[in-house]
Amino acid sequence: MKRLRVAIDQLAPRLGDIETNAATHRASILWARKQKADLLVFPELSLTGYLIMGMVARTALTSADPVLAGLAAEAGPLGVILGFVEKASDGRFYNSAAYLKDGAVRAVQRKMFLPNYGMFDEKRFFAEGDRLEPFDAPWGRTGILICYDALHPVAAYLHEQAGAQLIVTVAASPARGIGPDGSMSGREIFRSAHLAHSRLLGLPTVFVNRVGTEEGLTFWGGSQVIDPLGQSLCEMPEYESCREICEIDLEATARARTRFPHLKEGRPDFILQELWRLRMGPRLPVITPGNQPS
Amino acid sequence: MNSPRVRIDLSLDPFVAVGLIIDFLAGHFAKKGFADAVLGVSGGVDSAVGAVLAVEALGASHVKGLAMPAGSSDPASLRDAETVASAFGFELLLRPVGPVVDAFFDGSANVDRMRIGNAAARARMMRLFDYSYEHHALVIGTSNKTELLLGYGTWYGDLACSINPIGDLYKTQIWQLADFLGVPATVIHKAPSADLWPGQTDEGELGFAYEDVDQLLYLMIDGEYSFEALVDHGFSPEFIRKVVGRITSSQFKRSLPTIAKVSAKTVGIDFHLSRDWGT
Repeated sequence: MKRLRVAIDQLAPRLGDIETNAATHRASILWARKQKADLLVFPELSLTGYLIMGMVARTALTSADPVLAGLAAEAGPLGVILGFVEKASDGRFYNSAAYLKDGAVRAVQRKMFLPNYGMFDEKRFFAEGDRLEPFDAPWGRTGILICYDALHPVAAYLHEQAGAQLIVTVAASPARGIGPDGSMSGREIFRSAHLAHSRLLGLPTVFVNRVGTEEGLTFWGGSQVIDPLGQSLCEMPEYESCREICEIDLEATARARTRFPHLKEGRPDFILQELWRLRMGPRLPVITPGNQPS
Repeated sequence: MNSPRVRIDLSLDPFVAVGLIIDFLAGHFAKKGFADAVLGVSGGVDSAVGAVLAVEALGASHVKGLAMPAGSSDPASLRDAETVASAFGFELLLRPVGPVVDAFFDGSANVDRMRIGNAAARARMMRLFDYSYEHHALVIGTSNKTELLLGYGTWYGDLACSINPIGDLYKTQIWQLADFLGVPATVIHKAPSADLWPGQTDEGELGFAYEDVDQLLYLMIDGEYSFEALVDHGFSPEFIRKVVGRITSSQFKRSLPTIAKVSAKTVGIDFHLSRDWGT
């Protein structure tokens, strides 16, 4: 596959209404299949909405749930990434994204970094994922980041080191911090992170953010696809529920990496060594003049 | 000294800020199944901005303003409210609360202006929510961020509403957006007043200027400045303490009533349910 057709549904889920949201997802899957898309991406927690809070247990699905299986059946050959509350076999709940393809749930990525400051209270309701694992797809290995994950540079780096050729960030980012100059801090930080992932790791990235309101929060949308050289391939409107198709030239990755060889220099051994030293250094025996090894 | 050494630019990009609030209002009304809004229009800048935002989000024919003067209200306030309504094309209904307040206190002793002011604010709240029920219209509140933080409002009076589009805007930001939205200059430039008794002004009653307290609140609340950093920035310790005192003593106005916890899940403590559930 040389070109990847990505469909993006920048929707506003109904909070807690899985049945209605699943119907919206189904309609979108039909649309994306008609558009001959390879991959359809929904935002974070697209099946449930964001402010689940104390209703986590009532909205959680196992990865074998019939709702997901039904959507996977509708998707057929289309790859679908959607957000849901995952109930794990040990009873924990995760803010997760599922990859559906050929009639089944093929991969589940749990959110690794849960925001727990200011308006965010995710650690109260969700457990943290402990494994970033890209999945294999016909267009290449793909890593999913869930919202706040994308603001931790190491997460995108780990995906790339695991062989990801595409990074998909799904988000429920609320607008906040409007400045005098048209800036909005919620947007600026995600725009910077998304652009940095593409440019510094040399791969295409897809960022899908929801719209709509929950409580006083207004989610700003503005989904975007960026190529490995940092060029924007598709920029969706802010605050509007909409769908778009964007084509990614998969060969651009090799070209970008030829032009910018630094992209090949991930040096995981060096990073591992430095992390090990930072974590373990103080615990090693300290050699001082009075404590010389004999 | 109430003024900082260096003033922070608190202005907002008006297109971004107004666009966000209009989207928020339109989205909220749509998903709650309401087409119409009602709000008290006092003739002041806050309710004028609230009304214009509602008109932009819902259309003028879906916004009703209630002018609810009390016996002591300045007649100029009603004229300003009419100016705002005609400038933005929404209907203004005159529903005086003076007779309600008079009847309420008939025969009461020791009635001071604070009691009368609070009763007027609560009578207005009753009018608005009665209109809300009768006409299936959501009540838009227009307390700004400065008032909310300082607790400068009547509990279950003007603080009561269904939705507040301007509650995260400081007073000085309201002035800026009012100008952008085309609110008549007379409304923007007059001295802010709760208009509860003749000659009352907010700044006279509070004892400091909005221009100054907004700078302090912004650095303290949004900027997370410590007491020492605020003093370093030029605010007097007395001013800071006075404002901190107002914020802490008025927290009850920004919260549900305190409930004694007995069970495992308690309303207001650990019963975590979004009011937007199912919408």
